[in-house]
Amino acid sequence: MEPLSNTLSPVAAPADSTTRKLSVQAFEELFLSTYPRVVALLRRMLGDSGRAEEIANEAFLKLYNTTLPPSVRANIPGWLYRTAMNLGIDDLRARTRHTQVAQAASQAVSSSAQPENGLQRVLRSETQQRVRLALSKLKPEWSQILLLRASGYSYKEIASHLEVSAASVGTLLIRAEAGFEKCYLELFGEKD
Amino acid sequence: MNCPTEHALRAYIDNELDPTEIAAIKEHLVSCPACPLRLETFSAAALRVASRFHSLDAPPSAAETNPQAALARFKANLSASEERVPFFARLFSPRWRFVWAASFAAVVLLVSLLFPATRSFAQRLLATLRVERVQTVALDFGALDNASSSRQPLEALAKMLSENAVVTIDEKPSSAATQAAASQAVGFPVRVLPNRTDSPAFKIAGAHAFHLSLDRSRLQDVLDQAGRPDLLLPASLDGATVSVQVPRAAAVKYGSCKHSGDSSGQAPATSSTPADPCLIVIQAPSPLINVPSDLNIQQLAEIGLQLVGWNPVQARQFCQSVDWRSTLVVPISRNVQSYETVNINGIRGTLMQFSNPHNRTGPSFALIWVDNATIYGLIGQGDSTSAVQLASSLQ
Repeated sequence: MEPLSNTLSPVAAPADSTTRKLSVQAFEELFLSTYPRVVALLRRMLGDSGRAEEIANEAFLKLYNTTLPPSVRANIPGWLYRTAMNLGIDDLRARTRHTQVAQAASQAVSSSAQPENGLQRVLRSETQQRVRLALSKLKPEWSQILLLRASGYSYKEIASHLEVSAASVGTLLIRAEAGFEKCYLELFGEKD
Repeated sequence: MNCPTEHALRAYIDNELDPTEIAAIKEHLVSCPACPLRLETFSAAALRVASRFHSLDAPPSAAETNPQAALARFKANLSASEERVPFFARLFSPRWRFVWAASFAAVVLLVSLLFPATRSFAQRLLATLRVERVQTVALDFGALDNASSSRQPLEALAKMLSENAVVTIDEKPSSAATQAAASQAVGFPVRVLPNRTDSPAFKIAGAHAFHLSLDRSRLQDVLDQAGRPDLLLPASLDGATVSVQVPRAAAVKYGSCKHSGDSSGQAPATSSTPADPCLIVIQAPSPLINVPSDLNIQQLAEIGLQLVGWNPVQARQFCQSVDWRSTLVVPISRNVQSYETVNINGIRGTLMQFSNPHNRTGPSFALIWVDNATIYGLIGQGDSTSAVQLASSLQ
């Protein structure tokens, strides 16, 4: 890795116009603190650990290679989360087009040593496919907030990662949930 | 107390409020006829959605990610990819971005600096840049020209680009007295027309560099405003950083050219005499454009063509036929009366004839070709018959 002289805090990097990229140290700190959570988020989205790690790596590679504008440098983890989720959504869309979601979902379930019976497994797999299909169709902003919330992120974290005001997270969630239900209903014709 | 906001009720459900806020909402719920129902509605929706998302929870057996090992792998991949590929090839690899040798935008930009009246023409051509060959595409901008409602999205786009762009280099134009001085100023040998006896003026366009971070939702808004919400931009576009470096370029100007960028405000001079017709030779090294490796240029180009009225099948066919990383794509608008492919010392060029009734002071022809990663443009007023011969004679 090329040595870079400027050191930034990975959490709240100062908007210094002379600083082009993260320092190696800041990059590595951010990688170590963020990678497992990003992978977990992508695994939930994609149902495939290998692919989740690939996409997380892609997001970090983007961060490593990109000259970030000052507006982004103030909240690099947020940029990283959004970039990773957008790459995940694109991946879901691509898979949806190739109707591989079903296969991936069933593989993910069958490869896990879950104490589920056959029927439970089938139902769960079907719901997974449907949720992922809906996630691929929704506005990316909605998919992002629903995934963060379902992954247990606090309102404060959601506000920071999505760069929205903390006092609007609840409203955004309500919109996203309504959008998700509408999309789900249109796709599969059932509400419950 | 007024009824709590949607945010407050939703946060109440998720236990994201502090104790005083919780107490206030509890108290309000007892007395308000409407809010218990609101709460129930939000809560039921949240529960239904949460239960669906619960199906995505990772199985307990899912391996914990070890960040140290992952970082070691990341670094190994990084150095491997940097060492394996020779430097030159690396420049062209997606990871290092690619060198877009020629930029139609840059040529049009230069043209527009020289002929201010064509500026609006230039502003429409935002994204297609290329190098090794020239490919024309006929676009009918008529609808965009005439309907002010269609212009709005373009203005929104221009506004977004100007707001988000961070300019790092912005040199002013300058002049040079001689060919040698011009060559020194731009850093490459400036070529001249050997058969012209009048001495040309050498103008140097300054180097420019900027980067901007794309905002997908605002770009999508532009498409929505253009009446095409069906065109969906890839999500990975959001936050993608595009950086553009435009090296110094030279313009060699012969004869007396009307409205050639001198902001004297005077009325146009009389027609150039046949002895010294106006001719401008633009010589611009190809700009460097860095875009994220996963940005699908072809997809964006398809969207762009559909935006200007192509049907999806046409757009896809055209986009698949063009190598977007190495071709100078020259949109032919309705200002172009005719265009033809010509041969300049074995290199394919495109000669365009303009018909621009509103802009008699603009160029009447432009010949564009790419040689050795340098974009050449021969632009003139008047007769174009000798354009190819002149271009071939450049020294």
